[in-house]
Amino acid sequence: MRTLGNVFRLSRKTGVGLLLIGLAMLLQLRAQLFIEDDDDPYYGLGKEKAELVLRYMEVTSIHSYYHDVVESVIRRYQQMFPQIEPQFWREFKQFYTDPEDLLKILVPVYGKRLESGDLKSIIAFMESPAGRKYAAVLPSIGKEVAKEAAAFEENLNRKLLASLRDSGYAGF
Amino acid sequence: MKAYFSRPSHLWLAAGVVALSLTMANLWAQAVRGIDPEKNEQIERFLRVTSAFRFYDEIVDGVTGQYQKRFPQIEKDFWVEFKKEHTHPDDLFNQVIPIYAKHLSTDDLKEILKFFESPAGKKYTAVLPDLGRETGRAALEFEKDLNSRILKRLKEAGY
Repeated sequence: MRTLGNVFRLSRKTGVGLLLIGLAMLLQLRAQLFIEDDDDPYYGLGKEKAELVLRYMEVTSIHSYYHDVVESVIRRYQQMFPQIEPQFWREFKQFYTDPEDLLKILVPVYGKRLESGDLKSIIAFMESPAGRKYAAVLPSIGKEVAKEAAAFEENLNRKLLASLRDSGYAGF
Repeated sequence: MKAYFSRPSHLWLAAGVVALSLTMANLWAQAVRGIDPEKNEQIERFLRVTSAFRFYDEIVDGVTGQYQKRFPQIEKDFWVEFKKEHTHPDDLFNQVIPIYAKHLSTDDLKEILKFFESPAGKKYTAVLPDLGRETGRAALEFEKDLNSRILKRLKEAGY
């Protein structure tokens, strides 16, 4: 029959084990909290990967996206409320907006989808003369292709209506 | 080897006709696009590796799908026939390929292909649509937050 002391000794052994497990869990929780910490300068990715993602965002001009969004939102308000003085918007931009607000959301997204090795290869390409040229002409290509795609779609609609008419479907 | 060469001659003839028509079609497409064959081939490879050719199917399926939904009484055969008879990727790519040719040289394309055909380039192409979607969502979230900050600040400033 087990005495109280035996039970206690057994509990101590188990207790030490439990304590170690508990400590490990606490450390894990601490690490998790640190990852989700708003003040983490590496967005929960670690120094090397965070720096790679930021470099990638720089070479692909995603950085400038922040200014585009801020400018377009402010322009909308300026058009809606022209009576608001320009000084208000200058101060708003200076004191109430921060690129970090968008980076906090975007950096983890890119970090999750791309490995460090991939990022290094993408950055190397984007920083090469061909990559730089590719990035520079891409917006113009995109605009021209979109125009052609719209014309193609319009023509397809026309052909479709004519074909429906020819096939005897009423009302086309 | 012997068996290979002893296949009925009409098969060889058919294969020859197919190969010739493909070559002719290719030459015809290049002539229509007005660009040199090497560059044309590079751009086609680029469009294939970046899945841009899918863009054509998306437009065709988008347009026909819209009509199919609105007019379910139209028989399925009609759509199959329509796609077969009246649509061809060249209708779009004869216009799109010269755009790439205008902006990029053969040397640029060689380097661009080197990247996009590498494992990292392929992975990048594969994740780009998801990245685009998630970036769009993040931008919306950021814009929403920016809007509420502007409204709060306007209120504080007495507007």
